[in-house]
Amino acid sequence: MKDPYQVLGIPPTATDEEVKEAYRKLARKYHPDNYNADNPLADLATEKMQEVNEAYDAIKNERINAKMRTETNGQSTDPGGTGHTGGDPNDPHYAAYCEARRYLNSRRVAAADGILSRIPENERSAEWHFLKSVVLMHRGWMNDAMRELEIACGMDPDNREYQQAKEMFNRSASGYGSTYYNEGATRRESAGCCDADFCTTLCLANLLCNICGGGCR
Amino acid sequence: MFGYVKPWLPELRVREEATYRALYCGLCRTMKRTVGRLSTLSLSYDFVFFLICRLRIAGETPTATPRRCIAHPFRRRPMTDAGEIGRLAARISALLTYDQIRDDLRDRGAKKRLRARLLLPIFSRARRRANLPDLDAEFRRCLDSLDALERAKEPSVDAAAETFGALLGAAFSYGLSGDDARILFEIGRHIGRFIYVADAAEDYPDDRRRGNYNPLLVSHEGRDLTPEEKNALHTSLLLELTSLERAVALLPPKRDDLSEITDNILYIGLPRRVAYLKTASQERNPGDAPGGD
Repeated sequence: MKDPYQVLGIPPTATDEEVKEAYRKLARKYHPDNYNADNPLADLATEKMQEVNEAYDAIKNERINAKMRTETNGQSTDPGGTGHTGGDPNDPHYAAYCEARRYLNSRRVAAADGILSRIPENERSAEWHFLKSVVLMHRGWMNDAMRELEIACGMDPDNREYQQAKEMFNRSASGYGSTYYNEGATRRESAGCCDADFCTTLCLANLLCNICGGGCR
Repeated sequence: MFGYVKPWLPELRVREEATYRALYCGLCRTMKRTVGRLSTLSLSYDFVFFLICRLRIAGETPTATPRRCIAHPFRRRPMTDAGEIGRLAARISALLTYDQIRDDLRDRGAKKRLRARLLLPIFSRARRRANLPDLDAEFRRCLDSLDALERAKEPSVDAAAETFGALLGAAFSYGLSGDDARILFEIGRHIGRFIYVADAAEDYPDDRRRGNYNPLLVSHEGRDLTPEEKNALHTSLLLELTSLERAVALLPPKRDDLSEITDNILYIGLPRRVAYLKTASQERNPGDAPGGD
């Protein structure tokens, strides 16, 4: 595979925002809408589009993983400055929560749920309820997911990640269908949910984005 | 069913509305001819949506023919004969109505029970004519698991909704295979889940008065719902629609009247139906209810 940065035409030092912008430009250029079915170059455009998508995914995943590594090493830096993210390292079940997070990040939801269910009911922390919420969301059980998230926020009101997840819920719900009216004759494409920063700074929240609001692309 | 799934007419183009009405009238006619004259008592907008989804996945755009009918004897109306898909919609609709009536027989409200008793013979016959034993068995299985949750006083509205989602998923994907079946199952599933939760929220006061099972009553211990709780319900319903949107996006992308009607239902019709939860006023404004005749 080609160097993803080369494909997007940006240096590896580009910020998340620049990566996204470069991707957007190229995606617009090669978008299938620009090529009629009888355009003899349509297949090439599709190939290009795929290359661009793969490059963007590769960069995104690489950055998310890097972020996750620093977090699970316990050196979590807090770019926001206020509040904290993730679970409490002093929690006796901290290791289990980290493992559940890893499973969720690799989309092995049942495995994550298995780990969570093994933690006794009276020892469940805010982190437990947050992770349970993500599991439920994967299942599409939004009502229960929101209830769990509410509990997590109540138990740990300073946690930035939980708060942002809650905002995410509300945002993707309030944004639902909003582009339908605005686009006039062509009406709509998709009710996208979240901005790039949000998705790349928080890997689990990124996951939430993918589940409940149109994804990041 | 519940008549939840319909477009908001003011936002449809005139020709889209004509297409929609012709589908509705066409389905009515097909029901009469397939499962019996009186079965059209159960004619519902939800099944027009079923029809639209199945037509879209099959890539069919049947045309309408003006015909007379008993409800409108003086003027011919355009009716769309959706062929095999239309007949399937009629048969499944009969089956589902039968199950709903059987369920109503156990309702605590006397009026509902009486109505159910009167309708049961009609729909027992319609169910026989529908002749879908495998789907019937699947419906029974889903409704049995709903019964089990009800007996256990399950507090999770999501768990209860899932059984109804599975039921409509089976209905929507019936007779399809491969990717088509997967897409239609998810559409049916999310529609079913949406209807169940929306219905539980709407019937909350009635169910409390009559002592019917309602998972929201269990989880909220029969208290009046606070505006915050209603808002949360509203948010979860919109998120359900986001999941539905994902599935609908995988229907063939061809833009025509059918796709415009689908978008209207998805982005206006369904959200409007539950918008009252957000303003958190007790009563839904009946003037808001969209629909045709």
